[in-house]
Amino acid sequence: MKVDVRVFGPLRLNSGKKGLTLELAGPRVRLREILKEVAKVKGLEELEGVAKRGFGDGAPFIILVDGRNCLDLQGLDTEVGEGQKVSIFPPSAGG
Amino acid sequence: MGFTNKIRILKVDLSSGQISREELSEEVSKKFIGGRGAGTYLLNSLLKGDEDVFSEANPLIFATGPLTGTAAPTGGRYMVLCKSPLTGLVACSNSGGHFGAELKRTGTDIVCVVGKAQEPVYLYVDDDKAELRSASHLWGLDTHKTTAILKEEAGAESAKVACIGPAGENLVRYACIINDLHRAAGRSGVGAVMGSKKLKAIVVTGATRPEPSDHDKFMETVKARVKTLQENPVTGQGLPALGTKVLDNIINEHGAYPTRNFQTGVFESTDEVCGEALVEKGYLKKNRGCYACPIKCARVTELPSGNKGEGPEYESGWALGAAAGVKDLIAITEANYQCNLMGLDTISYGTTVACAMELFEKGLIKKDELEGGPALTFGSSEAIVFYAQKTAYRQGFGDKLAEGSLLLAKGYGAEEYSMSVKGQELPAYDPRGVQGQGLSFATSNRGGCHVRGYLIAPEILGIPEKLDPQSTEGKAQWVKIFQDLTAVIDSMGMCLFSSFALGAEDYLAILNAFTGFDYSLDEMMECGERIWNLERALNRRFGMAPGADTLPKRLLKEQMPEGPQKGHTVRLDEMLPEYYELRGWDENGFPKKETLERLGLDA
Repeated sequence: MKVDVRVFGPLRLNSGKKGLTLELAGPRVRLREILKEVAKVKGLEELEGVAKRGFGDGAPFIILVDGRNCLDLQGLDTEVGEGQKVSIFPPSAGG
Repeated sequence: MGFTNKIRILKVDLSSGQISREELSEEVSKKFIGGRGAGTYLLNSLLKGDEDVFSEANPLIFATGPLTGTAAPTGGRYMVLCKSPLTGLVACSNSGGHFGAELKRTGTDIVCVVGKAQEPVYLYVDDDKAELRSASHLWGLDTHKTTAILKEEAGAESAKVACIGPAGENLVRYACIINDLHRAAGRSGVGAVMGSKKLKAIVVTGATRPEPSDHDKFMETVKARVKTLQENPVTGQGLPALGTKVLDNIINEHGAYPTRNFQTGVFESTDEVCGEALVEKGYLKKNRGCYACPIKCARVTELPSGNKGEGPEYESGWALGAAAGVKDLIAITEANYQCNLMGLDTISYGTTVACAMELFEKGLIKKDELEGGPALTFGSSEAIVFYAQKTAYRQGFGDKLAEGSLLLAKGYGAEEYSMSVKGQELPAYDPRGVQGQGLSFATSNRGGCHVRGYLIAPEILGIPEKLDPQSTEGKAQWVKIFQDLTAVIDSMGMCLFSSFALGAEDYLAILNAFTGFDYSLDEMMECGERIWNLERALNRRFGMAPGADTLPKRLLKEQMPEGPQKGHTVRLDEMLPEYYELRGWDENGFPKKETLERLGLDA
């Protein structure tokens, strides 16, 4: 199955990529596994730590599945299927 | 000068030309902290309520907090208060840069300007000397030329300038005050009140450092919080790298990025105009910080044309971009420069143009009304740049834009297209995707505003913890706490962005170390509550109507048409009664007698 992953902020600037399409063995894959795949890309290695250790304390990475924060779903255990979109932001704020 | 908790006021009567000094007691200082709180206290004592906003009676108050100009991280903020020409309610506008800190170094906490000058003047303050000087040669000049001339006249690079541009002179209802060239006391039209007084600028230069009650304890407390800010991933890395514009994609991917006058929450061209694009296209040159700021979120930019400036920041970039459907980052940045030169609030200008675009596309505004100006079609990069100067000078259709979106839309019998609360335009979040932020917008004392309770932090960014944005449960309590804490931070003279890393206990430690007041956490939060209630009581005197705590019909009745928030509206009726009860307010949204008594308020 195919999953579209978009990366933002310093992740986009460091990797020179706006996103990538992953080919994964479906029908559904946990978000944690997707992060491990994404972390293989140069400039996105820090996502490996998120996949292993979770979000930790304080300001978290913001990871959305189809526009919904994974923390409002099942966290890194959220299952992602064919055609869904994953958006990854490093800890950010503004206003 | 040694330590004092008294609030030192420089009072300037422009009608008589008289300058005098007064003090507010330690008791007032303890109850209202300073800055926003002390300024509100002064407004309450100076205004009956029915005064015209452009009359001599409306004071213009520049208020620093106890931490302004100290070593406290982000301690460079000041507030400008008056009765607002945009809302008719409390105007209370915050700015950073270096002006506030320099004002404090003159040995003054608050400048309170009343009356009106016959001819244009500026106020010059050099330590304990203060005088009014002619500004006839500056009237009509933009904010950058004004600042350059005044610095030269002061003869000191260290002199700091806060001034208005043509927008303030021409009483544009959302004119701002610009200090240090690029920082703005942006909202609610404080610049128009300055213009009505024929006060072009305030220039300050001082050499008196504010003294804390306990120097060693204060420095130790402050150093620990600087470290916290530096080590936090948001304030130590995210904001320095991309500034506030890192939010464009975050909010858009959530489907809460208001587009084409809030007709939808997804902007298809965000990729072209976002903070990342500002870097990739090479327009971003470096970041810059305000006084004593370890975060340094400001953007120093340059366009291929050679035009230079600061910004756009998130709110400005959105208002001049997605709000009007504009996807040209050069036009957005150029419009931002123009707003700063003219002294226009970027949020209200961009969103008023967006409102006009909807009225134009619906056929309510006719082409011939534009007097040859570009058509007001969504996406017009020409229009967003062109009308900035026209608005500031009130020329052609700019005269109507200068009134703000509510009066503009009312003039066409179409009030519902003004995306405003209490007359002030909403900022860059569609609350149909963020319920608590919806309640915060609706109940804000100064109308549509994101810095009176930034529920985006917990609901979207997960700071200090993640809340479900579509749930209404418990949001009333969150909004109340955020509103009260924000009032505390504003009154201290620190920047709200510090709260992405610091919590209430940190502010308590800093405030106590400086003032020696030994507040408990509850007492400090009660100061915030007191300030919020005094603002509301003042709003009642100013004529705020019952039922004004609401949102534009579009956000309450029209379902979000697409994206992750598709089908949602703001469920305000699920939150507002609980909020009023928590506040101790009646069903019309005004403090009950016992609430005012509990808070020791005479209003």
